This record gives sequence, C-alpha cells and structure tokens, in this order.
Amino acid sequence: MISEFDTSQINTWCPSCLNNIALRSVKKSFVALVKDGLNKRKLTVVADIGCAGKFFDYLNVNGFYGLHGRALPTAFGVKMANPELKVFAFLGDGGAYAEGLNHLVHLSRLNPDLTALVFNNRIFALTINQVTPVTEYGYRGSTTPEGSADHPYNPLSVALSAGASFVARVSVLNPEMMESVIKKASQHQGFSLIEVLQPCLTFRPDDRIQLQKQSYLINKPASSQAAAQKIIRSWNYESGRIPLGVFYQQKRPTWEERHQIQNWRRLKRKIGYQSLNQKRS
Amino acid sequence: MIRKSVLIRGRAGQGINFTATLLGQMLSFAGYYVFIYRDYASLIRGGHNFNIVTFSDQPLYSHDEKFEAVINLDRSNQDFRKDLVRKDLVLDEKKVNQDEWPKDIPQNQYQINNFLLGYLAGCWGLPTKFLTQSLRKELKLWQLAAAAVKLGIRQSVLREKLPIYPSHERHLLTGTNGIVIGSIASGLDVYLSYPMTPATGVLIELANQAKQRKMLVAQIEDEIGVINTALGASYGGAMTMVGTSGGGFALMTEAMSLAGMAEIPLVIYLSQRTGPSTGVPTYTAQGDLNFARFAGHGEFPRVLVAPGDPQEAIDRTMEAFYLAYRYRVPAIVLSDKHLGESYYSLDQITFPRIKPDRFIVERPGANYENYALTASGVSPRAVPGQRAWARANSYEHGPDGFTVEDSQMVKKMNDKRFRKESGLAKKISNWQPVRSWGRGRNLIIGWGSTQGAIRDSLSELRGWQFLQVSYLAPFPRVEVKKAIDRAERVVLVENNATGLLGQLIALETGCLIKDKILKYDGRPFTSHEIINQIKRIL
Repeated sequence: MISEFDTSQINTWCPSCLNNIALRSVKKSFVALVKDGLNKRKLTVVADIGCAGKFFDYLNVNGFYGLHGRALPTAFGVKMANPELKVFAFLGDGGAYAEGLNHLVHLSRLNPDLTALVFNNRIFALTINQVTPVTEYGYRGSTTPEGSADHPYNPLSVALSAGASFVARVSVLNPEMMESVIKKASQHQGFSLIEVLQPCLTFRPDDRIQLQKQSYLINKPASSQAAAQKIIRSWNYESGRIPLGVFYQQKRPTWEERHQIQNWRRLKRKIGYQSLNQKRS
Repeated sequence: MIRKSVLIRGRAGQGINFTATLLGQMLSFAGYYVFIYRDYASLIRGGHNFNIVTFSDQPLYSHDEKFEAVINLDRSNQDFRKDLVRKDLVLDEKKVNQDEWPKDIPQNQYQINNFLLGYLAGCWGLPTKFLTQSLRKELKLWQLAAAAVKLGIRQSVLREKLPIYPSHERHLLTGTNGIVIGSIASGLDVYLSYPMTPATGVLIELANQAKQRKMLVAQIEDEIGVINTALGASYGGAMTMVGTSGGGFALMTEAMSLAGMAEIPLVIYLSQRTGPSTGVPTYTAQGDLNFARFAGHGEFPRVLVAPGDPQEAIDRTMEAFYLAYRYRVPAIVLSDKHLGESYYSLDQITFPRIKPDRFIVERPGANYENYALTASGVSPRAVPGQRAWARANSYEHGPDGFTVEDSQMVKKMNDKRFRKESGLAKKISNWQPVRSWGRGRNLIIGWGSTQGAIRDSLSELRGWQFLQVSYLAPFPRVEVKKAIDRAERVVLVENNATGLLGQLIALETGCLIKDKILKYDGRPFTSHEIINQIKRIL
C-alpha cells in the first residue's frame, strides 16, 4: 500500500513479475503529479490487452480497458472529448508494435497530448510465450519450436520517423529513472512514447541479466532527429548495448491545439433548427 | 396528372449531377414534386454517368426510366438507350447558335450546361425566375450562369406549356442531407470517418459545417481507428457518430462488440453499396441487413434502424442518438447509396420531439459505479473529470468496472445488459417501428430505400398495402406478425439477392414469406418494375 491509487483487485501477474516494480513507479508518478497540482480526477488510463493491460485493474483512477492493439486510438479519442484530461496508455509490445503499429505511426504524426507506455518483454506472454515483431532471430517460443526465422524491426525508429515528439526508453530495473522519465513525458506537450524494457522472468529469465549488463544511460535528448535516430538504431533488439533515456524531445503544436478542441461536455449547444436546411456554400 | 422525366447524361466531370440538381431545384421552385436519381461509375473523369430528374404535380418518391427530354452532354452516345426516350426532345451542344452567343459568356462546358437548362425551361414555357432562383441558391457567382440560362431560353422554341405552382415551393433533400441535419439536431460534437462511398457525403457535408457549428469532424487512419477513437471520445463525454459503408463496418465489428460490452453510446451511420467485397462501389444494395443486425462477437443489445426517405433520415438519426445515449448501446442507422444520393421533395422539414441529451449524471456520488446493477439495466453515465471514477471495461466486469471472471457476476452482467432491451422496445413502440402505406388485403413488406418506389407503385396496385419495417433491432415482432397474419397475400420486396428481411422476419416471428421480388444488379427499383412483378405473381 503506497497510495490512494491502490485498488483491492487481486494481482494476477506472475509472482515476482517485474511489472510490480513498474506499477509502484507509476503510482509514485501519479502521486507526484497530484502533488504538483493536477486534479487527480483528470487522471485517465487507457489499457491494451495483455500483461501490460492489467495495470487498469491495479490503478484507482479513471480508466478504459479497450481492445488489443487499440489502446492508442482509444486514448486519442479520450483527449478529443476532453483535452483537460491527463491520459496515459498502457500497452505491450504485441499491442503497440504488432496489432496496433499503424496507430503508433499515426499518433506519432498527429501529436495528441498523451503518454504511451509500451511494456516491452519481447514476447506475447499472456498467451503463453509466442514471438512478437521485436523478438530476436532464433527465439524458441511455443509457436516457433525450431526458433524464430525472422528478425525484429525497430519501432522507436519508426515512431521517430513518423514524427513522435518525445521518444524514450527506460528499464523496470531502474525505477527512479522510470519515474523521472514519466514525469518528463507528462510535462511534455504532445505525444510521448516511453518504451519500458520489462524482462519476463517466467519465459525469458536471461533477459534480466542481459538488460543489466548491456544497458547504459543517455544523459540528455539528442539535438536533432538524425542524431536521435543514430542512438535509437544502435540497438536492433537483438544484440549490442542498449541505450536508455530520453532520446528525443521536440516542441510542436499538439493535435488538440491545432484543432481547437474543447471539453464538449461543457458546451451548451443551441440548435438552430431553422438554419439546418441551408445549403453549403 | 403531370409526371415527366428528364435524362441528363454525359462523362464524369462534365457537371451532370450539378445540372440535374439545378433542374430539380428549378422545378421545386415552380411547385413540382421532384425525384433525382444519380447513376455514376467509380471513376473521376470520363465514363458514362447520368441523372434522371422525374417530376410531377402529385407527390412522388422515385424515378421513372422513360424520358420526355434528354440533355445529352456526351457526343459519343455510347450506352445511350434512345428507345427509352418518348419524345424527340434531345438537347445537346448543337442547339447552340454560334452567331448569337455573346462574347462575354465563355463557351465552356458549364455555360453550355446552363444554356441547355434554359433551353429546356423555354421548351416547357417555364419562366426564367425559377432557374435564376436555383442558381442563386447553389452558386456564389451565379450571374454568368444566369446569362447563359437566359440565352438558352431565348433560343428555345415552346413545345408544351407546363403549369406552375409557385406558392408550393418545396425542400429538395438527399438522404445524406437528412442524416447530416438529424445528427446536428441531436447535438453532434464529434464525427469520425474514413472516406468510403456512399458514406462520404455525410463526412463532406459535416466537415463543411464543422467550424460554424462548433463540431469536430476528422478523418482517422482506418475504420478500426475510427471506431476505437470514437468510443474513447464518447467515453470522454462527446456526442459521437461514425460513418462508413459495408467494408469499413466489417473492420469496425470488434469494437462494435466493445461498445456493447463496455456500454459506451455510439451512433454508426452505415450506408450500404453493392457487395460482396469491393462489389460495385457506386451502386446501391440492401445486402448488409443481417450483417448489421448480428455484427460483433458475443451477445449484446443494439439498435438498428433503417430510414426510407430524407425526413425519416432526420427522425431516425435523432432517435438513434437518443437511444444510444439514453440506454448506453451502439445504434446503427442503416442507409444505402440510393437513399443517400437521391434527391426527394419535402413539403416541410419536421423534427421529432427529442431533446438532445448526453445523459451524463450531474453530480455522481461518492459511491458511483459505472455499471451499477439497476432494474432497467441502464446504469447512470459518468465521464472522466467528474467527481467519480469512470471505469469502462472490455473484459467482463463488476459494477465498479473492474475485471471479473466469477460465474455469478458474469451472468448478472449479461442479464443487466439484456434488461435494456425491454426499455428499448417500449421506447421505440411510440416511434412507429413499422409504417404502413395504402390499404388492402394484400401486403408488400419492405424496408429502407425501396420505400419510395413501393409507395409510388401503390397507386396502380389496388388492394395492396405496404408495410415498411423501420426498426430491425429491437424487432417489432408483434406489429409485423399481426400484419402478416391479417394479409391474404404477402410479397417481400428487397434490393438484395436472398431476401434478408424475410429471413429476419422468419427468425423473429416464425412467418415464412414465399413470394419475393428481389433485385440485386446494383440498381434501385422503379415503381413500374414493382407493379409488373406483382402482377406477374398474381
């Protein structure tokens, strides 16, 4: 029990799942946001389906537990209805990089003011160990008995190319850093993408050691998109050192600003019935 | 009785549709009832498109396929069925007298169109003012067009003087206009769509009114994105509608089921075209009735309503908004290309007595639960930002919105959702879930856009009554069964290959309808086809 954001739902992650550390960091971040003046009733989480989606049940805030792969469009819709809300989307690498990749590309382009947390454990875990598009070549999952014959792609590079205005990667093994990046992302006005490397101890226990050994910190965002690409592409999700940190941050108008979105609920409409048959010019 | 048709034919891009609209508008100002049918291919320039403008001094709701006059803009004459032209009144650019064409009017396609319109008006002795009136209504820069029209009238020869009834000016509306008017009158905040014929018309019209009426109209990357974004927006508190055609709706079905489970209000405008698959994109059909009725995995209540003319499009759209938001269910307004893009005459536009309402609780209490178990099955709706936690869930959930798997709660929540059906059924029973036209012991049953041609056929079908089924879900079982049981003969008329309404009636009432008049070539019925086929059945 650390906060008012606890729920009494039974935790169904595996015992000792590293998501529990992440959950603690998320709650601490929420507490910090409220302390900084955010009305807690504006906190809204939109969850994908998968292990990462389960955050919905463990966070006592507004929430929409949507469809697999569709947390991003749903979160976008929530901002569209009420730009005053503080929206966080919780996804896994399956929902964000496989089923819902197109939405990641388009939200990167459109820049709505919300934060996407992609919990990347490099497998479909809840469906019992299958490869995702960021699983390395040769991985033996339940549907790849001979080892995966395919190589991963780099989703952060794709998001950056599509125009994402805040791109970061953190590790669940470093909660302080995770909290500080969540804070930076929620202060960022625009679409912020945080990839959370979260080794699955049940199916991929070696990932934890690899992450500990191979990761290193980037101190500040790159000065240009090209420089950020270089850092992001330095790890191809298979081998090599893994950079962590805020890779890129750029200030540009949000979707809500460009479209002059308001909180529709407060709008008292007057329907001019007489004018409804007027021809469009 | 006067009933005449004009064929306007040519290549795409020549302004056929606009010319037809001007002609229809002029005839409306002259006091005639007008119906305009639009036939075009899936291309932007070239091809062979046509419009049919049918008009009468008596009410009419469909077009004819024999013509008193032709405005022919296409010299190739390819696919031109001259046998359907009753009188030798074929107007083309050869009517232009080059010596008398003034220099200040450019002799381009559009001015030739206007010239020919004027020429036709002159042949029928119709005064200039009605055409000028329509030009002013449809065009910003109308003066040049008016000059071309006057030139046409001057060069024409009077054939037959048509009476005018200028005090009977009427509205000329498409089904698309009706959906737009109905959604705005419902307090629409957010309209999301991905362009797809024949639903795009609503997207375009709403986009053009968005700024003035403070609405958000946006195109999203695909239909899956459209509906999931829309559900997020509706959950967030906006009055939300999406629009698509069959293929796009197929992509939406997973989220349709989400709307049912999470009890998030949403209005879906579904405009049918000829399927299956890409089908015949710019032509009409009623092939998606059962798809819309059953779309989505799992079981959940929904509203499915099918307007048959532009006034019904207004009424039914407003009802759909009310029902979706009052009962927290997805509501589909099922239309098609024929209703969406044909022009109909309306004596007046009326609005049902439905007050726009988001149905959001003003002050949710400390113990607010988004899925509170109530006797009606309807739980009060709160949205994020209020003093309560608004929790929506695609998983089965308890009253508080958190995920559950326990057998008792799973059953309780299913029962709660289906309790809404009796409230819905009771509500729609006051809203004419079926409409009945004409009198007789024999019964024609149909739905949606066939309404017009069937109504027009009744004047020549003695002893026949037409039952239009407007609500498909909840299904008006009692009303439909009673009408069938009373009838001597029952004939089903549908714009599809297998008689989908007949299948639904069998399922809902146990009544089997053997006699079917089905048309599935992408084209709508004319009243003559229905009359002939009914006579053949007898």
